[in-house]
Amino acid sequence: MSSFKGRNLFGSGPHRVRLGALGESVVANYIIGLPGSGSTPQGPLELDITVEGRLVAGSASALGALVAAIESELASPPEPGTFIDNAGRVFEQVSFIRFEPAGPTDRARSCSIPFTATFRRFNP
Amino acid sequence: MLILMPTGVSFANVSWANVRIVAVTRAAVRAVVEHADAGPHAAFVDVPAQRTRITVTSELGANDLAPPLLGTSGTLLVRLARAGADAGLRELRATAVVTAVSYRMNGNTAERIVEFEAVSADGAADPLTLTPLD
Repeated sequence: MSSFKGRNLFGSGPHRVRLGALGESVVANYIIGLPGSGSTPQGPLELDITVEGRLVAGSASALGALVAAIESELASPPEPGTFIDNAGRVFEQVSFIRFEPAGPTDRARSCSIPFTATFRRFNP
Repeated sequence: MLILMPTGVSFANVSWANVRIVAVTRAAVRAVVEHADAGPHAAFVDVPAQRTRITVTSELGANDLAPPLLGTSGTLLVRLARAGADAGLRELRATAVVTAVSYRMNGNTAERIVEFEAVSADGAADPLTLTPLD
């Protein structure tokens, strides 16, 4: 079960956690005014953690409450916290920066909506 | 749902004679199948889009020169009872649209097969209702 700041935001339905690229941020030289066709390393990439899944509720209003709880964690400016993925891996100092429905609400046996949520560990 | 030898069938206020079989099939148009991080099996399945098809098979004793036109919309009524009795009379009702008309030979008998797509009143209600009549 994943959590952010100890809150189980996505546990109403199945969801998967994916880590973004690791490594170095590299910029083409012509963009930063350096000569030649090469590139220059700028420092480590910021880590993105993406959660993809489906929020599931018994009614449209209950689904709305799940989305509202997630929305309440989207602070501006972002307030970093601890994210723990489904395997129990802990990521400190990550910020919840985006929540996006990935399709329309499906109304059948359950009310559900697919989503993508993005967390980022900003570089100091 | 399968109804053999219904006691009466009508579509768009026209009675159909010699109906032998009314078959209702339902299928997912879109199924949601979601997996979790824990393993390979589906952790959530739902069917947010489905279709209900009704097939009416009639025995023909003569030429059929005026079959229902494709796209015709109307109320399909099917009355059914327990075999050989009037007791337990029920009525299946659906708003339906004709989507196919075909024929086949079954031994020495000609059969007409009319296929319908059932239409829900609001997208949420089941397009079929089965009501007791007694």
